[in-house]
Amino acid sequence: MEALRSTLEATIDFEGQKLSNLAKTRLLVLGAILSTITGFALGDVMIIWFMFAFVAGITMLLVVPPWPFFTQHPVQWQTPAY
Amino acid sequence: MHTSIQRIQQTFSQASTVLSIIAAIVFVVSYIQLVVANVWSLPEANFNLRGSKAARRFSRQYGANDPKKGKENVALKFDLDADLSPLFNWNTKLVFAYLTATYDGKRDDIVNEITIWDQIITDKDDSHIKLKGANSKYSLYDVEESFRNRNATVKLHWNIQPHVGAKIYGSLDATKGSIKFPQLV
Repeated sequence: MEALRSTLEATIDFEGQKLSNLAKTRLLVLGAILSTITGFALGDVMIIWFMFAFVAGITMLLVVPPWPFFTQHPVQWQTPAY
Repeated sequence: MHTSIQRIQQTFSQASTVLSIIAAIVFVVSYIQLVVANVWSLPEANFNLRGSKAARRFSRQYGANDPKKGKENVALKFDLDADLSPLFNWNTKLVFAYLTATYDGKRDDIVNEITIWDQIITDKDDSHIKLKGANSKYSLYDVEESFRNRNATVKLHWNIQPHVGAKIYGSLDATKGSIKFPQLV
């Protein structure tokens, strides 16, 4: 039970949190700009929604699971003195 | 961003924020495009009244409150030619076009408006309205017993329903738009 909880919680280290936050913001904003421009160029608003939904899905897939590049800098705890 | 639940929540939250900003930008840009296309002063619609007739109807569906007295109903036959294609841009879902007749009521401060004909246009290819000898879609009757042979002004109204944003309203004047309601014989 504890092992299942730990797997689902999927904690990442501080450097990983910084990286995932940055990736999330940049992907979403870039995806929004690209999909708006594409929708405008092709002359259909519906393209924006489908394209942005696709980008949001990719972002979720990239940010949510504890990929190895989010766990490269584990916190080095001091060894107990006694 | 420590646990997976936090990452899901924050990604979803930011995605919806960004989505609402896109929606606002889309509406503002498409409204500016309409202003640039000058859609509130489109050329007049060509209207031509071919004929009109009045008949007394006795059914409630035709507005007869008193089935003995009945109510005067008017039918019109007309030609209409109007180009509504400037109303279509990337944010236009559909255009609702409706032809109305405006006439004075009993008092000077009352103005009545009735819809003669309407159409939903979902495609830019269908946006040039060309009607030849079309009949009025609705049977026309007043709150009073009769239209009393009054003068009316015909106008073509339009109403854009966009994918994102508020509805946008406007109207076109009609050439030969001054008509006279027929007298009940």
